[in-house]
Amino acid sequence: MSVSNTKLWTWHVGAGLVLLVLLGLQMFGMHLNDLLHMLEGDPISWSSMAARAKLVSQAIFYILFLGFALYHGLHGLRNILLELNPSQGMQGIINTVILVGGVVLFVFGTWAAIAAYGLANAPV
Amino acid sequence: MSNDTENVQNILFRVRRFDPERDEAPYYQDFTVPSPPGMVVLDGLWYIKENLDPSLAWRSSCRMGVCGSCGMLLNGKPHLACHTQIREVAKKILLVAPLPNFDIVRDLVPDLSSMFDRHRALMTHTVREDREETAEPTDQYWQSPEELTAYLQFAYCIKCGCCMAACPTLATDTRYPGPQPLAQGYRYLIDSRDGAFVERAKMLSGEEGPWRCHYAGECSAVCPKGVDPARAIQLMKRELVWDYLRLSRRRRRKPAGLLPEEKRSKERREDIPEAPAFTVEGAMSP
Repeated sequence: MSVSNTKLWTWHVGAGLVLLVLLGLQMFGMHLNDLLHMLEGDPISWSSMAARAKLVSQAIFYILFLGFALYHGLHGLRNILLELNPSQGMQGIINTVILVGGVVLFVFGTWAAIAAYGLANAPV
Repeated sequence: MSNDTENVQNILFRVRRFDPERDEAPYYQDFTVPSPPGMVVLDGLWYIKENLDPSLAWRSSCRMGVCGSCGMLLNGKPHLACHTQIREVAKKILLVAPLPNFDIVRDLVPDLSSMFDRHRALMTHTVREDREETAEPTDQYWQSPEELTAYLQFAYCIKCGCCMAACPTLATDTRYPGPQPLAQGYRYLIDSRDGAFVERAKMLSGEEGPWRCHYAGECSAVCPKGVDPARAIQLMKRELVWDYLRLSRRRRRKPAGLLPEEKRSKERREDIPEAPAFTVEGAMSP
């Protein structure tokens, strides 16, 4: 099955742009909060982190971040591996391993984000 | 005041030699070439052939940077030998080698067929439904100056292979088409006279496309005609991405037609002289 490189490239660039926004939010919220005051209090204290873990928006943030970072990173890894001039058979193996690995990591990471949200909101 | 004789400087030409019928591996041979200011490398090679070693082989034709035959590696960078003054690139020693990323026919003669094969594979010609009209145009196509400007720079390519020799991706990735075919692919992708955008976009989305380019930019740095293949490759990526996102009109565009009747000038302008008569008997009648 031939893959459209135009499609893969477009999503790679798009994912990069989304990561820029998400990482920017993370950077300004967690580490440069003194500049923009996006969050109240000390954002990297345990109590702030525990409070954020109860927000559904935080779980969605993590899942989006995971999805776009995985796609961007694994597509980049695939490009690097394909530049080693593998045989057609090896190309198929690389594509399959990266696709399956990416899906497994995404499912696992999504489960972890949802589980963390459930634990944070569980009655004590 | 000094004259040209006083200005002559001996430059050591260290030339890579290889005859596949005789040699097991390439080797370097030294020749001393008296080089006055302004002497080009091609003249130096002719000096060697006429005075020192008649067996030296290279490819050249026009001597004026137009035919693209004499591309070679001069002190590590691809240049046209006819377009490069010896003393611009060498103080004492000039390393002369064939273009890398190509097989070698002999001495300084690269086998450019791999480039031409990839060039042809990218449909580097205008494709239209009216094949007969394309083959034997009855009149000029109507193309605006803006449409011409969009591809004109990329049409200056003389297929010398310098960009291919400079490309680090092509050196390591055998499936990458290389800057020359891709730049020409883009030149036809955006030509308003062409009617095969859909086929081209589909083909370029595969391995024949620009996706393996790392944008090192060396192809543009060495191009003797200022074609800027690296720019063409990035513009090609943009064109294909816009098309994938359905933000490009090219897919729905009809190829430029013949000049409409009302736009045609009925009378010949007086300031344009008549073409001279053909000098070869049997040639096309004017």
